[in-house]
Amino acid sequence: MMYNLFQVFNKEFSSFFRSKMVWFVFVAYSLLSVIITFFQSRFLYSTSLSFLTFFQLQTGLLTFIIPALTLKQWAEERTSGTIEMTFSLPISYTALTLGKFFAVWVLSGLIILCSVGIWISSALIVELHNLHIFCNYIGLFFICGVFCSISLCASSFAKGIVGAYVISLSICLFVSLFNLSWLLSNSNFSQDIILRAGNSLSFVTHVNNILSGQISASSVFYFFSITAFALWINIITIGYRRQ
Amino acid sequence: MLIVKNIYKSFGAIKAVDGINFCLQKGEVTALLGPNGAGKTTLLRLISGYYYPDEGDIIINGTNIQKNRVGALQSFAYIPENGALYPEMTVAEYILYMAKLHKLSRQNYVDNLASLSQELGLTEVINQKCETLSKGFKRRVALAGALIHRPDTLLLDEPTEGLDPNQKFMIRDFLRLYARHHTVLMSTHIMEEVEACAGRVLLMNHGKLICDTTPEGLKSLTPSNDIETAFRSITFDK
Repeated sequence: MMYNLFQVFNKEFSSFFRSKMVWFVFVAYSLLSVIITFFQSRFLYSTSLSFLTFFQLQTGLLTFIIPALTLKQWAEERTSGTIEMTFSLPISYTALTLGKFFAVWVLSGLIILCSVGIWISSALIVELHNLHIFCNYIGLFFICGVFCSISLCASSFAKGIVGAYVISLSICLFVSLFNLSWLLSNSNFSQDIILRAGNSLSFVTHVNNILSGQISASSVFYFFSITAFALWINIITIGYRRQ
Repeated sequence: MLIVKNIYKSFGAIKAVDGINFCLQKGEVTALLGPNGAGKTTLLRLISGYYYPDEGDIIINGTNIQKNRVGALQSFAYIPENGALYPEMTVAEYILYMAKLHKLSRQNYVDNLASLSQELGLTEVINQKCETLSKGFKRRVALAGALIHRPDTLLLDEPTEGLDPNQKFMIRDFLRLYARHHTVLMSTHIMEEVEACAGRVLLMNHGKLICDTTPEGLKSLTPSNDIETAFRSITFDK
């Protein structure tokens, strides 16, 4: 399975770079990162140079970009007709799904590296907590993994490319705004255990934890669980649709 | 060898495949004939693993595809009707990808690629992107990709649809030679194709297998001794 997974990963990853669109995404992301950092977050006017707002805005930006990257994976295969041939190849559904997932996840990692220039240029001017920012980038990569797995799953059960993008974007937006602890704290639930449970299930809570530089085991496990769950649903969906 | 045992497949109230049984051996091209909507493509998709049957078994080279899908498809190739290729890949990259998925050794890949390029006339387009190819070349590349690992069982859905006479002749001739040592099942509704290269005919209608004979046997069913007349007389819904 690992051999076939690697072949699928290799094919999917290199196919991104055969298209001119991916370079457009790189450039657009880099420009948007600069715009939202220097103009939206008033980066240069803040009294202390904090990258927290930068990374929070990155999360919002990736919510829109990652669903577009995953369109090629299932929806475009269905539209172009190659899906019939793909399913007649001796590759397990697991290897197929994971190969596609890792390809888009690694690509999203390369995309977020486009914003490293802002970090490097800021570090040349002022003293920064570079380890803190490095941990933030690791956290952002985990967040990309969650969005990639959710978008890939949505792409597997949508019929067309537009539907796939709309479903992926909707789910990613819902997940990125999901703050169960805020809902519970503003409701009648006052029991500590419920509030703590809500806190541990909130995506926003874990994002804020990880973007404040604390890569805790619970947050890594949380992101890993969502990613694994979405991938599992994806594998079940493509197998179930064959029946 | 390909064994299809009591296969049923329904989509809601429509019985697309209704109790089909047959067994194919090496040595000849078997033509799957039938009018539009007979269930030919559904049957091929069931055999290729794209669909799962509601009932029945499909055994490819001794392996049940429902129990071991990856194992069954290892020495198997399917070319769907649309013959779609991965558009962003070049012809060489596409064939190499197929070879790697079937775990072909480097030496075998090089030898098979050289012979297939010559037999199918792909030398001039080997470095061209699949999306830029004409329909005829796409079919030939799909065939090369399917045959690079010399599968024991080959399924084709309307392989010469939309091709010019020269291309049809080339592909039919190629399939006839390939079937000498392999199992080939070809869906078609072109009667001259059946006469040109098939040694056996499976005639389907409304999801059922209504006739399993040779082209001569099918012709002999009508006084005119014509395969098209026999096809129309058997499948025409009064």
